[in-house]
Amino acid sequence: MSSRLGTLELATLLAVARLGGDAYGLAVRRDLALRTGHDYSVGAVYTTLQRLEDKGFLKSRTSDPLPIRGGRSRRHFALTGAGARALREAERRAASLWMGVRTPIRPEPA
Amino acid sequence: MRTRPRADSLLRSLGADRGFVDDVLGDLAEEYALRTERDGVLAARCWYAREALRSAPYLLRNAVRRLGPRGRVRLAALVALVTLVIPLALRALLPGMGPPDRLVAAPFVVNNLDPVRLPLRVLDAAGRTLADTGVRFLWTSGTPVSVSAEGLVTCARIGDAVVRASLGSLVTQVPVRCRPVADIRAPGMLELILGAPAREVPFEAVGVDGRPVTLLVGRIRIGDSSVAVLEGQRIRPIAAGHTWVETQIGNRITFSSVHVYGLAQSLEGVRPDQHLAVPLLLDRGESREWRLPAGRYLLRVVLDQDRQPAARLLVAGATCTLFERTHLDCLARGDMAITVRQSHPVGSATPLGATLLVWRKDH
Repeated sequence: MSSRLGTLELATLLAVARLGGDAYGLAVRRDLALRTGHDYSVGAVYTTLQRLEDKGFLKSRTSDPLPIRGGRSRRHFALTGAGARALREAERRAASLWMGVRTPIRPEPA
Repeated sequence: MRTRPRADSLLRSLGADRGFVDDVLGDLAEEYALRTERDGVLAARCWYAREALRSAPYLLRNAVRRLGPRGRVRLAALVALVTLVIPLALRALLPGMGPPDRLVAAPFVVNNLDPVRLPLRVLDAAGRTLADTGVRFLWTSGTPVSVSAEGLVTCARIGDAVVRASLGSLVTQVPVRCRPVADIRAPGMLELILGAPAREVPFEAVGVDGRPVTLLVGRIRIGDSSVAVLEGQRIRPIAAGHTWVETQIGNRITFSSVHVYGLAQSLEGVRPDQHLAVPLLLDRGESREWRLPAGRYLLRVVLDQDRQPAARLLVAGATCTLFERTHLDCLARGDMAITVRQSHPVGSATPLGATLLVWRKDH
């Protein structure tokens, strides 16, 4: 299983880190919509969450069944040690990519 | 939310992991409940249906990844049912087409210089259109035009012809009006004033002989219908701004830029990209002057009537060039002044009625 993170995987992992104990599918989806401006489908979000769990970056636990979910449980996600390391690595890579770039970015004169 | 057993069982039937399906359906149910309260039942149902459809490919993918060989066979059978059996069933239920019964063609105007296909329909006895029928075409009379057996007509000159179309024992005559258009002449700019009535989109189609062509089939399109709208061949201003209008006849296309000016009493505070129209009424020798900030401007004075005193447009503090023989295109690096003055013949006492059009071109 690859330890590299795709764009949606990184955004999802960050959303779980941000939401802490409230990180379940619907909350993650709302957070992604708010921060990326893209309305991901429920299936896309759970596919990503499951892939991150398969990679060992997330762990999950289920709540008691809830009436508002038609008697289904909520699955809450949390970062694992590997997930936290993957985020730090992604942050380091991003900082390295931005290093030396003067802001605000302007086009070079012709 | 009340559970939706049909959606539930349908999604489960795809064979996805039960936990995965529960997670997806749980989120859908939870948000459905929230949306029902906020947006009403109908909007929430629409949202639910759309989201369930959007999530279906992920459930399928989950099923493919998690199923064993038997499960995959079941899934393949389900997909085959949807893609093969349903269309076949629909085809069996719908009545079949009958044999060709008649050929239908209206008089056909050709404005193209390139070959065009004759639009002829073959119908069965129930009036249903049949496809790919192998109709053969042949020129029979009138202006000689090139017609291929498959119905491609090439009009090189103006005239009327008759083409025979046949399919077995079915025969019809198709009148062909050859009016090839070599050019469409239209003004580069079309200027409209907000509140004014709709006016014809101005253009002239010119034939291969250089004379106007009046029998035309074409299309007129507007770029931005929030600025101006088309009403048949007329254009009505909607809001100040600019867009374009495209006129297509045969295989010729021409564009005109469309500028809609908003009426104003003064040019004070004209903003970048703003279009203003200032009505003027000037007595003999009278003038009006405005100061404008640095920028690029397109200026024009339009007289209310043709036969009346002329107006002079004077600009100070800017570099101007004549544009389309009617406009001044001016660039001012600092403040500029524009003056409109009545330049009347000696003895004339008629006041000048006109409109000053100003488009500040810089953004």
